[in-house]
Amino acid sequence: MNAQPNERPEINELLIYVQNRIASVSDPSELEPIEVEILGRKGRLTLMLRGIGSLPAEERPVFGQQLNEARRKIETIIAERKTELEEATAAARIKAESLDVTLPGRFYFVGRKHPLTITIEEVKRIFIGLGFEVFDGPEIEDYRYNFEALNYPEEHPAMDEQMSFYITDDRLMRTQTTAFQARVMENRRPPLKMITIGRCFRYEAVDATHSHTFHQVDGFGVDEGISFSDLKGLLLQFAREMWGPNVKTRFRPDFFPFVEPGADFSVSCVLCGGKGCSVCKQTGWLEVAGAGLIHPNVLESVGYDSEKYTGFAFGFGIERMPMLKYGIDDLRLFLDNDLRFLRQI
Amino acid sequence: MKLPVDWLKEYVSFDCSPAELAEVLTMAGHEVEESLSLSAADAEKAGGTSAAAGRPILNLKITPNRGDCLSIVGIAREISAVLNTPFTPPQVALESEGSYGAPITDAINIEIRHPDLCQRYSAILVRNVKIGPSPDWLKNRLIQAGLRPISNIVDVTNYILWELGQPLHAFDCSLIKDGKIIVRRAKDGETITTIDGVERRLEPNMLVIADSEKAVALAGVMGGLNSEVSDKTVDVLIESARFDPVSIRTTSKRLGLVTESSYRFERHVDPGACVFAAKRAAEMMRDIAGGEIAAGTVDEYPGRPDPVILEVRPERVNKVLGCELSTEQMAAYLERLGLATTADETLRVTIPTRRSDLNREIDLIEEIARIHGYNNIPTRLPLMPLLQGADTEINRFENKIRETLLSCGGQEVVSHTFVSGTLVELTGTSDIAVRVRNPLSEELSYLRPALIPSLLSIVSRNHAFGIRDLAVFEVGRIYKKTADNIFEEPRSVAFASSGIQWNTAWGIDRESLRSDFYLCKGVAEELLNKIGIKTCDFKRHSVPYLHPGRTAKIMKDGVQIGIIGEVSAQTRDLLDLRENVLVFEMDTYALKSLATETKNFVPAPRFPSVNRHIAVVVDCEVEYDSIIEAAYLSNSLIEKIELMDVYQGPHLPQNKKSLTLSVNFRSQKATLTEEQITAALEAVKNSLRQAVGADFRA
Repeated sequence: MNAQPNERPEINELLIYVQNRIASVSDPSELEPIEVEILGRKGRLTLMLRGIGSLPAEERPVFGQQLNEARRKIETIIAERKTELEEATAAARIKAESLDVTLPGRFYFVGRKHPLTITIEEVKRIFIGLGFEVFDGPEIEDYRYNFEALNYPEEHPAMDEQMSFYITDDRLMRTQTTAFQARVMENRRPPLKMITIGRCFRYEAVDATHSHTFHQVDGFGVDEGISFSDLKGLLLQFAREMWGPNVKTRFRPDFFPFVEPGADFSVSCVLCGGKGCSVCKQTGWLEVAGAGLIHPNVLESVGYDSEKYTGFAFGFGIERMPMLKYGIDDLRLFLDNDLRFLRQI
Repeated sequence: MKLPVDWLKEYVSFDCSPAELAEVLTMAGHEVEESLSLSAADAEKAGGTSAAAGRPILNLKITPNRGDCLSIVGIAREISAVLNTPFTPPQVALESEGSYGAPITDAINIEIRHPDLCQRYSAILVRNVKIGPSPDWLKNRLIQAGLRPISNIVDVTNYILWELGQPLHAFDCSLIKDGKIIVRRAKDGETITTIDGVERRLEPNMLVIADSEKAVALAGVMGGLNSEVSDKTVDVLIESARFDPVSIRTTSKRLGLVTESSYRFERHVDPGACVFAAKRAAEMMRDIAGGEIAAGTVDEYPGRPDPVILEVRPERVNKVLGCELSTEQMAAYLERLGLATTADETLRVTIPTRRSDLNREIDLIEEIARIHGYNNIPTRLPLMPLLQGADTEINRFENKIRETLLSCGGQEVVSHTFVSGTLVELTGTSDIAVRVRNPLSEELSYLRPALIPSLLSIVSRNHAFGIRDLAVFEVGRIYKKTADNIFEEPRSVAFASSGIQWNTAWGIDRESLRSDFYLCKGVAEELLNKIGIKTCDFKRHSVPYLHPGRTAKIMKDGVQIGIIGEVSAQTRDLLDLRENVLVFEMDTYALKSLATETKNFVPAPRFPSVNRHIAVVVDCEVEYDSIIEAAYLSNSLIEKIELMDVYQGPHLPQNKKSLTLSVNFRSQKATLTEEQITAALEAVKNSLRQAVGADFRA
């Protein structure tokens, strides 16, 4: 703040005085006494303004003007200093309150669903969306529903893949969820679209790709005019929902006693996209389901007119789905319940 | 089944690479599991020459309905049908019987005692053979097929088995007593030493081939050592028969003996081709072992099948497949498979005896689809009436339980159905637990009768991994049998926790977070609350594996719906649990029947409440529930009572505890006056003095 030409020296002195005073202040509250000392009712500048009457009349206007200007200046520098001091105080407080934001967050364990549950929910979501009704059948199943009603001839080699755990002579742990078909059809009439999801048991030693306990989803539909085309369309729709819109599908003949024509349903390998990798054994395809049109013998065994009604049926292994999704290479992990595994989901 | 591609080319012409051939076969329903070739070293080690090395071999998985495809010729016919290329099956020249020296009928007599188990038995005699090694080409064929060369005569039988799918057996004719071949059931206690040197005890339902004295072969499974072809053999009797699949399968399973022969008989061997196969074998033996074929054949064929002619309606084919094939096209597909077809309004298809899998129209529809190619069938979504898709109510209810326990910090686990007897005994449920008749091991011999034991073994395993801070739960089936042997599969929900349920808890008093009975009870109460079950009672209870003083049954309207408690010290030792473990289990169906979906909205109160704390001093044995009950009964102004603290210690006499209660008073009609509150509080105190002998600390 430079002295103006013609400025009275006492005004300049006052300004310098104020500047020095406020510079030495460290707390905004100390500024108020200074303001009062200079600008208050008995302040120095106020007194100088009152003393203006003792000056010659021609000097009064200029002096008055200079005093008013000085007043504005003083008010400004005090306000500025106040802001400056307040900001500094706030900054100091924030600094003192600062945290190490890189310290870990505190949290309690939140549970995760089991990967099989996640998969089963996903499969259900898709089939329910396609109008399928869920049915829960028993795991301790009648031999009849597990084999006979599914058109297995007595002592047929097809049973070699269905070695069973027996509870009594005629009750066994179901080897396939397909056992629900006749159970449902015996009590219902077409049109029907049903699925069941659950555990199956086969007499097999456990290794990375086999287990005595595993999960399947089985489904079927019965109505007039169902054709193999419908089965193809339905499973294509499921595959697109499950593995994405670009998945390719393939049907090839296969044998299951309860379907005719019988098929194996494969999807293009979800890991390599069909180019060939270790998971798909270089074929580009993953076999994900057995399927076909329900054998007329099965329909007739529950009293359906197999001329009038036809039906499709399919069965997927559940474990395969999360194995592909999460890159899991050992089936045993699902029922081992090692939390180091489950907590990664 | 291993399929040397060179061998295949003798009967069918095709112009594609082994990889393309594998694709063709796979898409026709004969999955090629691997493509391989032998190294020179492997070939020589197996008894062949280096000429067998490097040649393509496909390994096929033939489905159990296609016994006719368990041969080179069978697969050649399939390739011919799919690719529509010429099929040239092997031929035999032995047409004019009786021109080959002394007839076999002079030497051999056949008696089939069980025509239901042996539909056909035919034999040819080859005299004066010279036993020796097979020529290299034959050895190489066999090792490419995965078979072991033995001697020229045995190798021929194996060659024919692989080529035609007809199992043959070669007897040393001199060892067949009286030239008598009897197809009969084994006698009780009869034994036979099979050519693998194992003495086998037979059962009366097993079929044997016997001479006038003894069993000489286990029919369709394996020959007997007593009639085996050896270096000394001069005359060879070739057996070519058709046995009942179920009988062979039963015998094979019972003896634990699966052979290439039994494998084929189980899956159907063509009864119509027995004599042809025997003739072809005889010709080969003559050619490579220098034998002379005796005139004629003995052939007993009591089980000659009736001719099978199936009708196929073209419009039905198209309806079932969703195709628009012409009748001519369908007929052509069937003809290519060797199924003679005449076309009219319908197709009349003659089924050859090799195809036991073709029994009704639908089977031929599949054949048409197979040759047409599944991938050439159109794809469309089913045009069915609109049906409401839905999950079952119990599954939806379980999901709700799951969501609640997840939000309580529980990790969902899925445990095995099969558990050990130890876990069953632990829970004292042996009488209701379901036992597996043929378990894989004792560890897997029961179906879980409850979920807690399974959770405890999961907790134990994780403790061993060093994970002691955990909370796990499972929602699933348990298995029980009733007194009258009815099997039930109720559903259950169980929870277990140990340690501290905080992932990261630095700077917090960790001990205050440690799992205890009350934290576990809090989870149980949250679950009950969430599913709309109010005011359950927790009653002191006793369970074999839980701490006797820290166990309760969960009751609703006098009915037990679950248990909760702390695992006893003995159980901890038994299961190697390294931390205190808290558990609860509840009956899901019971919860579902008690659950209320509707929650009624209550308006916010119009008048203020007043809160007072009182410190109630009672004997230690006095239960909180009895205090609260007495308090509520004392007057109607109590809105809520909350427990603030429980104190036991130096400031109280022994056997006394002090409960600090926060009591909320409120009237729905007016703001309470000081006098009303004082009176109400005094009523509470009086009630507690009378009911539970309470004193009050200032």
